Amino acid sequence: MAEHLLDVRHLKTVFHMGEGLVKAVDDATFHVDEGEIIGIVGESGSGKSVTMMSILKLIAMPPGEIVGGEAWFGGKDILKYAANSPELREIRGGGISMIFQEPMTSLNPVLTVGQQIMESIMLHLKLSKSDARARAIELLTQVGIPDASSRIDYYPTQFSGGMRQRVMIAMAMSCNPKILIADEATTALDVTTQEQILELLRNIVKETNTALIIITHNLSIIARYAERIYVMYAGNIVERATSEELFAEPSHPYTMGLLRAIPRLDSDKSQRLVSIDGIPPNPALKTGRCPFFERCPYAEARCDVKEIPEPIVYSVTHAAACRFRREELIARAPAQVQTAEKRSIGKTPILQLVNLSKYYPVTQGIARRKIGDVKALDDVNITIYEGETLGLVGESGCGKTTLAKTVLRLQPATGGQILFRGQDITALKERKLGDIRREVQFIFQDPYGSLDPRQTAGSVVGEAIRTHHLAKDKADYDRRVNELFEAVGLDPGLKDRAPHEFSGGQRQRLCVAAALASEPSFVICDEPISALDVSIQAQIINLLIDLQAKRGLTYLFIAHDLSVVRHISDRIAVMYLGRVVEISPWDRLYENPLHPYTRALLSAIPIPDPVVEKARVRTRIEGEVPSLMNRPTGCVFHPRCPYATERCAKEVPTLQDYDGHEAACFRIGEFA
Amino acid sequence: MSNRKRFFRALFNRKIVAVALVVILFFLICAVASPLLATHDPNLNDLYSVTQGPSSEHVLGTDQLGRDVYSRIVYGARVAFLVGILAVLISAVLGSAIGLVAGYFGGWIDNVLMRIVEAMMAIPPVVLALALVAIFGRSVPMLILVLGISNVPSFARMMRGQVLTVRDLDYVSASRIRGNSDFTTMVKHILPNCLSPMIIVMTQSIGGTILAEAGLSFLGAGVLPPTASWGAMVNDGYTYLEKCPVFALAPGTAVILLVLAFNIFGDGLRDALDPRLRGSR
Repeated sequence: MAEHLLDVRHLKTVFHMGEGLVKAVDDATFHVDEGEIIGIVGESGSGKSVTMMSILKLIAMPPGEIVGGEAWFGGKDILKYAANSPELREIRGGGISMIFQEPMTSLNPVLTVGQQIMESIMLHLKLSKSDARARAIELLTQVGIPDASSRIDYYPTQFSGGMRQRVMIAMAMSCNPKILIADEATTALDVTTQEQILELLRNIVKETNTALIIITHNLSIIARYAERIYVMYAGNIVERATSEELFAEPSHPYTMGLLRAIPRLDSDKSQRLVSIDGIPPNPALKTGRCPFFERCPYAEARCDVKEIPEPIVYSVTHAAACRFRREELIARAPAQVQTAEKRSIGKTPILQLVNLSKYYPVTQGIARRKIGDVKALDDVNITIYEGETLGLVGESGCGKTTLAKTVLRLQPATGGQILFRGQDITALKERKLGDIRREVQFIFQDPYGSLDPRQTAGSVVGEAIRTHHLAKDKADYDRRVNELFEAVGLDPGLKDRAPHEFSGGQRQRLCVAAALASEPSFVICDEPISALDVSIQAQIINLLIDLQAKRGLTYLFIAHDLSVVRHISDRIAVMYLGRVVEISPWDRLYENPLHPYTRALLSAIPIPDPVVEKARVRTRIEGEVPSLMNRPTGCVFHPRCPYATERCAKEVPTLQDYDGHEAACFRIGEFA
Repeated sequence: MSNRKRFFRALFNRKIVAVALVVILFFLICAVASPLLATHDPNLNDLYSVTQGPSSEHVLGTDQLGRDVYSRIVYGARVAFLVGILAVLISAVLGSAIGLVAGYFGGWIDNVLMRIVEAMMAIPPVVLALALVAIFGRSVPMLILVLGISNVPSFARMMRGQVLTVRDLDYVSASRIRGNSDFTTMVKHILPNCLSPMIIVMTQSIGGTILAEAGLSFLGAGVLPPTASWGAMVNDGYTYLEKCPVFALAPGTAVILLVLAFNIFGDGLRDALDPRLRGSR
């Protein structure tokens, strides 16, 4: 076998925890060659990060311990080195370097970026200070930081999130590493920024012939960028393949399930998503069986043995650790994809936002003198009809959550009106909001923060029933709580558990149940699935869709993920820096996006299929979402817009109706 | 259940915390069962045997009026606990209420309440106590009130800080969206989640308050004689330090032991309840 750049064989890492031995990495074998881009995909807790950290001995030992395996790099097994040995320190940063997820915390705020980049250059390349500085400027220019020779003396806080991640890349590339590991490096970034960063990474590693290992939970990203993919589940690599093979012929039930569970920009939305049942196993309670056994729809008696299945090899590059061949799995495919229930959408508006604005004052000094406004919502007009789902999309800072909070009257509006069923609730006193509080409910993004840790699950769910006096007596109350638990697919027997005893998906179900307790007609969902694991997301989406059909709910569905929004929404509104730039029925928005921002947003979303990906024509935009503090004049999008004219910088475009499809752009006539 | 087990394991992780608990329990038993444990009437004068050293009759000797020092220390524990616990309860309840309201509503309510609290902080507790004692006379309830009020600001500020971190959490918004009144939201969702740091500070404050009580009694602004108080006993005894050191040293040691025990136990609680704070302060 040819020598690989990094060749990891049968890596096993365990953590000695209070509850017992946690097998974080059970058996990981993979390799990467020079200039190659590979991806390692897995949910949280699948062991993908621990695998990388183990190779560099960056895990805490104890409680961590590497109990087996080899990692060949540069002709040596680097697992043999002690964690603090000079050889390993030389490899870290010099031979293998890493970029982490959080660009806000991975840079030291009290040192300039230049000092931080130069530090490792001087350490590993033994350059003089002035040479190191020249090299740092060169690197910063290479990662697309404009005016690098003066920006080198800036502090990290003076850069935006995307720019900081570029600095991180410059730092990681500073010593010409052989391998660059990007651990969820773009997860915290906006979609359009994410695309820019990944493009940059690909270009840099291709230019310098560096190997790139992308670690992510997002299969779609990998489809666009990785050449080969390893799928990890519960500490095991369950499938390895080239991108084309993996997406065309997934051969492990887990991979198959994942691909079916993700809504795609090009999927048929009348069909339900097929979710993977259950939750990922607790690595402390591993049975020694095939790790996917409990959740696998194909599992048979012969899978119920305490031995991890040997991979079936399909080609040199493709193997899956399942006892069944792909053909057998396809032949035994579980019941066909169900079609989602049809709903009727009314023509009565349930919620109307008329010229709604929300400004936050900016103050300065101890006298708190007002020096300006942050316009979080600027002149927003949206009408939502009974029974429909309006998807609201946009990148961070566009005002999605502010909109939700203002509609919920958690904060007062600055101007405009909120009409709920024709009634103006904009300035209604809290005491008179009673019925609105019952009718309008909210599902939070973070299922961990939205449940009071001191309450039992049952009392969280039942609280609204008590508040609004909906139950006749104790028996009626219990019956209602049980019904709610069953409606969201939870066992009512879990009523007395505390929220922390539930998994993320179960907690989100609890939040849904709590929101439904007051029998609302209108539910605002603020990114309800973005904090959940991929295999759980489909369960929650299906739940929301089912509940809507059963209870005739109206949803305002807020998300940054356009593929999810497309799957669930009837109409979609796109926001940018506090303004609605486009609003349209979902099919027309995706077929023919009118606003240049929508186009860019759509093309930044990767499709989990490398064949489709390569054929796509994409609109790219430069730069990042500007801060609300210095909002551009005129059309808020004009500094990033490839079609901007002088007029765009001066006048503010308003929404224009193009046969039911509205967009706010002066040059729309040319696109429509 | 396992949570409780983990809590106790963390609490008694350091042996000294267990020792501190034993000391506290010992003095608590003294306070509760003083009549059973005392060998003499603590207020019975015996002018034939004044300022005597330890003997089989008087384990820790007698004071300048011939009263049994050991029995007075046992009874003195009553005053210490009564003042310490009640004063801290007063300040914790008042302070929490102020902090909760100020932190939850913010705005002008917060401004007004916090300015009042800051004004209270500007007055040194000892000066306040001396002034109030001068006006209203000395008594145990007076002492409790004075020490209770002087601690209100620190509890109010601490509670407000806690509330500010909890107030913007999603589950508090969730409670408002569900239609709960401000009162329900505060009492049901905010208060319980601010309690554990309060409990820690309360424990640590008891020690401080006992010390303050001893100090005021030493200065003659504390409990009214002849009620046995450790501070007053030290005051009585220090003039006889050369002739009969036990007289002053015994009550002094009692104060030091109990205050130290409360502080150590408070630290232990803090470590067990909030591991993030471990080693700070």
